[in-house]
This record gives sequence, structure tokens and C-alpha cells, in this order.
Amino acid sequence: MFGIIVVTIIVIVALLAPLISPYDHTQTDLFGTFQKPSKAHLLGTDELGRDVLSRIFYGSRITVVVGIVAVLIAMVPGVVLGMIAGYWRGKADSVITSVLDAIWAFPTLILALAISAILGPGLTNILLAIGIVYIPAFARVVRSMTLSVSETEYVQGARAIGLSDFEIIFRYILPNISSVIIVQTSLNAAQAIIAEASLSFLGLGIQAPRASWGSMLKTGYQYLSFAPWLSIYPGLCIFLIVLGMNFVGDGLRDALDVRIRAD
Amino acid sequence: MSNLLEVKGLKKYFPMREGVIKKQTHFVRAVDGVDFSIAAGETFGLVGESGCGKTTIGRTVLRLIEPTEGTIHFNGQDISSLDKKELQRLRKEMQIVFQDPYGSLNPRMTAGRIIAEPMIKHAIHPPKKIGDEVNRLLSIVGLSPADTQKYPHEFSGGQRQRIAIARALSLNPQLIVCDEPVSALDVSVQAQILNLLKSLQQEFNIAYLFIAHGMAVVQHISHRVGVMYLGKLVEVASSDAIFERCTHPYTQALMSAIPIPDPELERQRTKTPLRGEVPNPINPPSGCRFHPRCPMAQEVCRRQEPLLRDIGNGHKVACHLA
Amino acid sequence: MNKPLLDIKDLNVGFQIDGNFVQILHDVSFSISKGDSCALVGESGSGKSITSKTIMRLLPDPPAKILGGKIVFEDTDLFSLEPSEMYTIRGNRISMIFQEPMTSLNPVFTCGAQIMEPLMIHQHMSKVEAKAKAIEMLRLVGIQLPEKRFSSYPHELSGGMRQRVMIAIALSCSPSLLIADEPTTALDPTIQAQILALIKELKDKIGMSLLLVTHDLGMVAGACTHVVVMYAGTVVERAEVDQLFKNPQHPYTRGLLRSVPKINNRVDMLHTIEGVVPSFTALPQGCPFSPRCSQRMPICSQERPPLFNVKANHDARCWLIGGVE
Repeated sequence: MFGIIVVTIIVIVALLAPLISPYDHTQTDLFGTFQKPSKAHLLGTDELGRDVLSRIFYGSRITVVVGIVAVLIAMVPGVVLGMIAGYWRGKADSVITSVLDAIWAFPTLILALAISAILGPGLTNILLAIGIVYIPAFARVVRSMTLSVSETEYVQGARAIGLSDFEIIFRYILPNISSVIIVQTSLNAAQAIIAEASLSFLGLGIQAPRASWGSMLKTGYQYLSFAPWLSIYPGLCIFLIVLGMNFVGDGLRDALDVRIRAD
Repeated sequence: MSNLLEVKGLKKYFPMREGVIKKQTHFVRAVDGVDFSIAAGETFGLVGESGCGKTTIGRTVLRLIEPTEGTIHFNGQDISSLDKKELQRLRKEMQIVFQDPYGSLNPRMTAGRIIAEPMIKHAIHPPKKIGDEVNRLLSIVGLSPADTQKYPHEFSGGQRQRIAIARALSLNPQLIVCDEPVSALDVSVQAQILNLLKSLQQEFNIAYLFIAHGMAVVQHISHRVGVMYLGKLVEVASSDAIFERCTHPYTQALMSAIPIPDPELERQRTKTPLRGEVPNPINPPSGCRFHPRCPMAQEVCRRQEPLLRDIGNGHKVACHLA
Repeated sequence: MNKPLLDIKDLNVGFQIDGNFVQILHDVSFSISKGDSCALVGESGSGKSITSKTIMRLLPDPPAKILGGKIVFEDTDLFSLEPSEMYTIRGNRISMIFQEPMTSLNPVFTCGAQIMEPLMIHQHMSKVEAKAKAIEMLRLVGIQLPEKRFSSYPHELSGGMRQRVMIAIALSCSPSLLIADEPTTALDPTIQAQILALIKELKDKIGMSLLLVTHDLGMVAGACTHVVVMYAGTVVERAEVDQLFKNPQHPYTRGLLRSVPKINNRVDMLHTIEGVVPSFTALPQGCPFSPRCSQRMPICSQERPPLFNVKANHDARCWLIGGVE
């Protein structure tokens, strides 16, 4: 429940950012730098005098985009590859699994870093990097579920009736692995958001003057001793959304498992 | 009169791959040369223990698994080498009912949809009529039209088997392979399903290949029975003959292993349980495959494999001592 | 008259399921004397497995709750025992074997080690003594090359052999009572026969009593001296085995006996009992079998019948016997 509330709030904020931000988030004010949180600036200003609250609002847009797009980039190829490997097996499976294992063997962040470094900074590129890195996560889970569902008697029965492979995949296998995919999606969104924050923190990814919670952390970190609000609030936001997404994922898993376990 | 199903020399070997490069080392000889036939409207029972190959035969006849060798003739036509299109047409004539009522129905489909699926795929009824057909089939198997919207997990084991049977019937097949359809059911439910299968056979003239490991059930429902051991048929006879005149030592062991619900008879029976374990189909014994466990094994049994011979009245036995 | 070895009186057990409390066992009563083989017969949903687990006090509380009754074993009321005292009974005085030997044996320990465990815990044997006895047990249960098999892991053995190992573990401390919960259901017919013969042989050798929980009436006829039939959580008939098969009194027992295909007596259509076993959350009023009973009377759907005495050692829970007008 908590998860859903948090996630909804952040999505709404992201959508309404231009409307609710008190200031233009890129507007600098070199005379008003490092202002403590006050009535004029609820969360203070940063090293260039920009309003932190507005930057947080706009930063949420990046977070939401990452949570949706990067996850889609991971999910769609991941599910497709997983199902191909799990249903047809044989050579296709060996090839796909080897490639996936190779990708998965790298620590995700290092790999995302490498891809980003090659592609260069910027939003689209880190979306790609984060997405690609998590394809194996989906593919593995989908592959093993597909393997076990393919062996069930209801799939054999479908073959006995004369259904084609595509009919079987779409009507018999996909519906029975959908719950797993949904849960993996929500958990992966949390991972992707952390990845983006980390990448931006490390300097690849979102560049100034655009705001992302990760890049705000990056710059704010340097001024931690005398302007802690620059780090606390973005960090808190990251923490909240990741926690929220994890709760949503857990809740979904529980709800969907019960329906299947009603057997 | 030619038979509905004629199987000759059926073999199915599963390759076993071991090692890092998955080199093929052995074969699991699941089915190793089997001949039998089924007439229209007849039930042929196939009985044996784990590893004897009976389940593999059931799937191979339907071409859910591809045979390694041998021919399968259905209605006079060789179906062991049909192409995909012709196989599609064949699917209407042969169907299967599985053992596990909990795994044989798609949990995400309603009962009505499950039964309608084959009819929709093969377009044998106009779409508007399918609903009526589903209701008709449901009432034939003893369920009600109200059940069409329910999901499998809302039914009991026996009811799920009825849905599976309704689905198998929907294409009006001439042959249904029943793979241990009642083994997972309680005694009283088992009786209901067996009676249902029998009455359906009488009404629609359907032939059954009835696979099971329980001799009593097989003998009850079959006209003729085939006993399998380690990939081969060791005895084939009518249901009466298999009980009254069972000849092969393995069949006799199976018979004596069946507990009879009559305490006095049980006390009178001398039962010598078979020694040894059910052997491994990767490396079958030499000569007669049963000889290591056979109480009457002779020298010839170790050296030479006996052929399935007719000893009169269509009663066939594969034993040197028959 | 000898005191029974195991005496169960008016056992009532319930379960907490999804927030609701459901009563599963209703007034279950029967007893086993020394040397008896008693069959506890019933289909799924009869409560037979729960009964056997309650004897061993294997049901966790919550969600299970013992609502009432007594189980007296060798003059001790099992419900009065502390959990630590119950430990000395399980595996030692009362042993249990289960249906699925693969999941009942610990896959990461050798068979020998698993047989040694109860010996060392209950009989306080040293490792050396326990090993010797374990090998002897393996030999007793008919396993070839017991010294070698001692070091085998469960997955290296066939189903029949694993069941033998389970029996070896269960009998290692020479218990007075062996509870066998569907011990052969998962095995092939010829192996079933082997295991059943083994259990009978060892029972006579060790001089213990047997409680065989099963749904297979044929097995009951050949292996047991007494039979207790359960339906929907209650005992509907109990009798000596010959009496039960020759002269069954309860309509459920009769129906069950007639629905089994008999190899020596082929019929065209099997007798069936109409309807299905009721779920514990929706038991019918009065006699639980009444909706399916072809001989039901008005009183059957109103009042639950008590156990009526038909003959010596033969009781049935049916108004037809109670002589009600």
C-alpha cells in the first residue's frame, strides 16, 4: 500500500512538474547560492543558486522515464529471448544462454558504465545502457518459467489438438508466466532507478543543467559539510521511490501467487 | 476387417548426452520393437511398471513424440511420416487424456474455452454453434453449462478429468489415448470416470488405448490387454484370458501383486513377490529382458531373446517356456 | 481383557484456515491391541492422515488445534506429555513411514547416517555400535550389499529401496507401534507387493503393532486384522477384517467395496457412489454421508448418528442400525 502511494505521488509530481515548481529549475542566481531552506526556497538553493525543490520536481521526471523506458528496454528483448530459449531449446537456447551469461557475468554497474562511456553521456544513452544490462535478468527468469510450462500436460494437450507453436506461446505459455514478468518488472524498475542515480552520480548520464536526483547527489556531495540539504533531499527521494517500488513488487508477487496457489 | 490402429516395429530411443560437449553416449531404449493393433470401438489396455515404455508409446502413436523406427498405420494410412499439414488433419481423429488432472488443463483458461479450443482450431463448427456444442459435451460428461465460466482450480480432480474427457471428445475422434486417467483419483471417483469412459465408448464407438500400471483397472475396462516390460510386449491376450490363463512369468507376478479385496482369498493365495528392482532401460539385460528376476529362468533365457508368439486364440507370449 | 496398546477416544481436531476455524476430526475413536494390524481406510478428505499425524503430535499448533479427546499409548496419555517427552516417543516407541520416500529422506545425508540417528539419540548408542546396527537393519529390510549401501545417498536408490531405508530407520529402535501412511502408493505394483510383504514379515519378527493408513481396500484385505473406515473426519465403521468385507454395515463402506474393480469378478459397469466427498468447511447437517446415501431416512439429515454396536468388535455410525423408526 505504502509503495503504491509513494509511486503514485512521484508519478504525479513528474507529470505536473512544470506547473508546481515554484521556480525555473535551471534559473541560476549567483548571488543566492547555498541558501538554507527557507520560506522563499523550501529546500534551499544549490551551488549555482537554483531552487532545490524545483530541481527535485523536475528530477522526478527523469526518474519516472528511467523507471518506464529503461525497464521496457530490458523487458521486451528479455522476454522474447527467454521464451525463444525456453520453448525451442536446442542451438538457439545454447547461443542465447551463453550471450546472456556473458552479459550477466559483469557487475551491472560496471557494464552500464562501460556502455555509457562508449555511447557518451545523455539521457537516451543511459536509458539504453541500463536497459541492456538488465536484459539477462528478464531473460533468465522467463526462460526457466517457459521451460517448466512447456513440459506441462496442458501444453502437450495443446499440441495434441494441433495448435501451432505461436498459438501455444501466446495463449498457453505467456499467460502462465505473466505474473512472474510483472513482478520482475516492478523490481527491475527499482534497480534501474538506482542505476541511473549511480551513473549520474559518477558523472555519466544526466548532465547539467538538467536535474536528476543522482546528479544532484553528485554535486551536492562535495558541499556536504556546509550545505547538507543539497544531498539529503535528493537522497531521500531516491530512497523513497526505491523502497516504494520494492513494496509494490512484493505486494504484486503475494497477490498473484495466491491466485495461482488457489489450485 | 482392417484395424483402426496398426503399430509395427515401433522403437523410440532417447539419446543421453553426457560430458562438457554433450557427446551422445547412450540411448534410453524406451520402446524397443513393439507390434500391436486396435480395432474400432475396442479398448486395448497397456499395462506395465515405470520405465516399461507404455507412456512413450501413447505419445508416439499420437506423434507428440517422433518414433525412432517403425510404422504406425491409422485407418490404413501410414502416419509415421506425415507432413505438418496432414498431421493437422489427423489430430481430429486421435486425442489424449492425461493422468494428472491438476496439470492437464491450462490454469488461465475457463472450462468452456478449454473444451472449445479444439473445435475453434479445426473450425468444425460455425462460431455461433460452438457454445451449444460445449454445453452438449459438458452434459455428456456429467457437468453443467454453468461450469463453462469457471477456472480449473475451482473444480475437483474428478471434475477436471471430466473436462479433459469433454475436450478430447469435442473433435469426435476415433481413438483416444488414455494415459493413466484414473490413477490420481479416489476410488469412488475412479469408478465414476471408468463408467463414463465405457458408456462413451458404447455410444460413440471410440477406441481407447488405455495405459495404466494397475492391472485390475486395466483388465476391467479393456477388451484386450498388452503387458509391457522394459520396452517390449511380453504378453498380449483378451482380458479374460490374461486373468485366467496368464502365461508369462512377469504377468503372473503382476497378477499376484494385485491385492484382492477379500480377506479369505488373500490368505489362501500364495504370493511370492518378485525379487529385484525394475531395471534400467539404458542397459537392458541380455537375452530375455526379464530373466534376472524370473523365478523360472533357464540357460536359453539368458542367451536368446524370445519372440512374441501366438499360442492360440490370439493369445501371444514372449517366453521360451510358453 | 488386555488393555489396548493404543486407545484413541473422542478425538476432535480443528484447523485455522484463512481466518476461519474449521473442525476436521469429529469424535474419532478406535483402539489397537498388541500385535494387531489396523487399517485406517478413507479417501481424500476423510481425515485419516490428520488422525495419524495427531497420534504422533506432528501437527503444529497453530494452525491445528486439538479440541478434545485422549490418545493413550502404553498407559500414557500422549496429550499430557511435554514436547521434550514426546521426542522420546517418536522414532523410539512409535515410528512412522510416509508415502513419498524421496521427500521423506534427507537428500544430503547418507542412508546409513539417517538410520544411525535414532539409534544414537534414543538408544544412546555410540557411533560404532550404531553403524553396526544400521548395517544389520539394512540387511533385515532386504537390501543387498548393506555395507556398501550404508554410504549411498537417497538419490542413488530406486523408490522401492528408499522405502526400505525408511522402514529401516523407523524400525531401528524396535518400536511397539508402526504407523505407515500410504507407504506403497507411490511405488510400482510389484514393488508394492515386496514392501508390503516386508512390513508383514518384520512386524511378526519384532512383535509390533501396525497402523496402516491407506485408501486401497485390497491391501487392507491382505495385510490387516482390523479396519477403521473414515469419512469426512469421522469414523463410520470399525470391525475385524473378515467382518468388514463379508458384512459391511455402513452404506459408505458398502459403496466403496462395490466400486473397486475386482480381478476375480469382472462386471460391466462399476457401482458408483453418487456425488462427491464434502469439504470440511461445508459439511452437511446430520450424518455427513446422508446426501449421497441411497438409503437415507429423514433423521439422517437432522441428527448425526452415534456409533452403534452391531456385533462384538463391530460398530457402525448409521441410523439404519440404531433401529430408529
